[in-house]
Amino acid sequence: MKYLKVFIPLALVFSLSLGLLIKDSFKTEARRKVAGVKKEKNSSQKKTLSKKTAANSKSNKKEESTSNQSLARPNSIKAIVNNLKILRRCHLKENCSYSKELPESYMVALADDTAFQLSQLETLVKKQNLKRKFLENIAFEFMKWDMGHVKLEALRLASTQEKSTKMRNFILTNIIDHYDAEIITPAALELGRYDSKEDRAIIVNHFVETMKTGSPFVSEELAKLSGLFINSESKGVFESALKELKANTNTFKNLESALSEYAKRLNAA
Amino acid sequence: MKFFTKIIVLLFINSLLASTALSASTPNYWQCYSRKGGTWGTFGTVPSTCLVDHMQSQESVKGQYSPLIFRDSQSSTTERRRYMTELNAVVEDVATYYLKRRKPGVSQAEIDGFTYGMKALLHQETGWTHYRQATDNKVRYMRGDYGHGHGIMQVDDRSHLLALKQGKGVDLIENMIYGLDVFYAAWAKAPSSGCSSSTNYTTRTRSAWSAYNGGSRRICRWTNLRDRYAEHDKQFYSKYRKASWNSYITDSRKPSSLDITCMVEGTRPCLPGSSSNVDTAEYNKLYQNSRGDYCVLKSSNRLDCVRSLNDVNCLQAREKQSYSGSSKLSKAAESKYSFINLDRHGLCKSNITGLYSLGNTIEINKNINLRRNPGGARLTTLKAGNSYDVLDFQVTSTSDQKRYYKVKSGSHIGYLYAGDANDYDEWAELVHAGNPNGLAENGDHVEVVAPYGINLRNSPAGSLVERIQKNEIVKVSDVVIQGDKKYVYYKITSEDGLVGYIYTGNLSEPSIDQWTQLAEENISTYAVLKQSLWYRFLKSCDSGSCDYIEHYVKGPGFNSTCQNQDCSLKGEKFKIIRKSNGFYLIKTSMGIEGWISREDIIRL
Repeated sequence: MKYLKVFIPLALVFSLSLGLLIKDSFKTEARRKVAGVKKEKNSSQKKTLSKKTAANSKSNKKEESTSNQSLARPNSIKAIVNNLKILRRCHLKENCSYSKELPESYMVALADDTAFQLSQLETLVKKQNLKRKFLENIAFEFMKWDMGHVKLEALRLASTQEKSTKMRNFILTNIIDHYDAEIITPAALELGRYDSKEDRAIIVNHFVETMKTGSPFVSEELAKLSGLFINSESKGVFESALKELKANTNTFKNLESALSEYAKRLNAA
Repeated sequence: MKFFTKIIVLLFINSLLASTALSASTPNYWQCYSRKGGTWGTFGTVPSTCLVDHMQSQESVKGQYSPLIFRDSQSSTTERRRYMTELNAVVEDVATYYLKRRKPGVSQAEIDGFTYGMKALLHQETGWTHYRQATDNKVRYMRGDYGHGHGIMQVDDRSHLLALKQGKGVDLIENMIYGLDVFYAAWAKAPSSGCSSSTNYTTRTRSAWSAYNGGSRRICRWTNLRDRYAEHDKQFYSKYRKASWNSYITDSRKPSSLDITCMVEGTRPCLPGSSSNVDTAEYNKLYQNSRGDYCVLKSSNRLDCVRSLNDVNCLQAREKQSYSGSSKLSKAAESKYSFINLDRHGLCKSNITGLYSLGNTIEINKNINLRRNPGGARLTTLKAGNSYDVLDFQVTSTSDQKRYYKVKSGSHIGYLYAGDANDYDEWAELVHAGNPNGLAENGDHVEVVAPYGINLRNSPAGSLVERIQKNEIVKVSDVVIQGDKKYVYYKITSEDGLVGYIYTGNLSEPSIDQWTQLAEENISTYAVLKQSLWYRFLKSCDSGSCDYIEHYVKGPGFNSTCQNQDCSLKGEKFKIIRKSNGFYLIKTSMGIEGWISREDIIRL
């Protein structure tokens, strides 16, 4: 009987923590499916992190004025859209219960959750072949966020929707102008859908400006992809840009090679 | 007692299982091996440091960055002064290079303000600490913020993991440039943020750092003294005002030891930064022209050139000598000489003992790390006994002829070390002398698909024989690969019986299928994307929840943009390998494999 006094409260504490962890585990299990950035963790890493996360969230619940509701299971478009609204508010007001232990902790955790919700949304929208204005607006909203993996998921959502001038401009200013070279290839392919003369002129001009004055890593990547956009109308613009690039750079060499390949194709090599 | 013990054990095990599922981000000190401490408040030795080896080899760091490594074996006072003076020269060059590139025509005042801001940032983030060589002779790099911050700019692995996996944490220059990309975004935005003007570089730096530290929404954080992180901004400003790094810099005019443009935008390895310009070339010396080619004087008015410094090893092997010096040719010098670009494939194959060629299949005899580039970030470890197609090669030394091969393993493409002139067969051996993946083998038939046909020439890029028309099927009898972009030529026999060479794209960009495609008899194994689709990224496995890989196939949606037949945004044909779970494993014309949903394709 004397053990009961010790073990019953202990068992209750464990049960309570188990319940909380089970509640979170769905979200976490799903998170693991998010493409790219969060793969390749081993189990020992997960253990270390989980202890820290649990500790952080405990302390934060005391410190922060928690205004966010918990996110719903992302099994329908409606649920995900609602989750994204909550996450957007968390971004604007910065008053949700993500860790604020370090200056960047809050946004890092928020971005992870947001990228996951967007990836789930893209899967469902693609499955249902749904084209809706509100989905475009979601893509616009999250393409503006700083974090590359959120931008990438927003771009993937955008690719499920009809093309529009607004979308074209959003991709150019929020992805091509950003410094994350990893998301340049999907963005360039998406821009390949914009095939009117006017679209092409705007895209090509934007590309060459970025090659000249953008982030060095992005410039090199764009030059590699320039071959996809070279035709009789854009050739002159790319050739002029080549003259302004430094000849000993990979951006120059990649663009020069793309132009040479184009010339070969026209002249049957 | 037994009952309660069981409950406790069960609950404990359950809680552990649940906790392992909780993973939102990287753990503290992710990929930090053999961590060492340091001293707070000192320049160049702030804790902690972790081995560079998972991203860069020790040899590669020591070779490229020797003057920029803080050596613990030296007297700390002298070493700190030497280190800070060398690093200061590089920081000034990097900041100037970066701002001039992003903002052509920028004023000197802004360059000075930006450079000063960068120095303060380096002080606040890491005390100018990056590479350190401890007494065990191993080079480590700086990891702060419980190991989440990587390198001198403290790039955080929780928000920039993809960039860090590409080596932007460990490599000093890439770390600086990536960090400056983030800092500059805020620097450019600061004048319109309401808390700084464009010419007040103090407030502009404070704004840019607040955003660098807390995210772009916190750009004016430094103006709010009651902010949760106001102390951080206060500390930064104190460092900014005191500029105490200056006390350790003994020569503020010392030239940088690195050629920053080459290190950032060129092909490494690079020559040192302080090469002089010369008007006349001399024998037995190495020169660099304005295209970045490396050249040696072959006769009184001719220089032989290669495109990369590694290929100079093949040139030196040919001439059986080492070229001294590393000058740049002036414009006047360039007008005096003719420049002959040598084909690296032929040059290296003929002069490097036991070097395998592109398209050869090799079997490795040891477990070998696959790296993003020679001596660069480790991607995976390849197992002894496995075979790989050689996609490219790099020879990294002349005397012992060390070589690396570029190969593909799963979704990874990188370089494996394969020994030197004396032991290359202990590392890898030739199992098949075929052609690179995606190219025709000798004896195969290919169909010309280029819209205007392809000219048949008497040698690769030689004189015209006749034009092979689109849809003509020709027989391949040899494959020749030339140039740094790996231009591919098929030696063919035409339907009329003429023999010669046709160009068929290059291996640097996926362009082979735009010129010729294998004329397969069993066409039912081929497929294209559905008519309405523009492109699809491939997945790593056969489920909707699997990751996308970086490779894609273009769909017929793009064909409308190529109506005049002169662009390469066209749909492509790919081969189906197998079916599983509503997905197809496909192989593109460039030999890339990946999964794609059954709903997205049409079998031919």
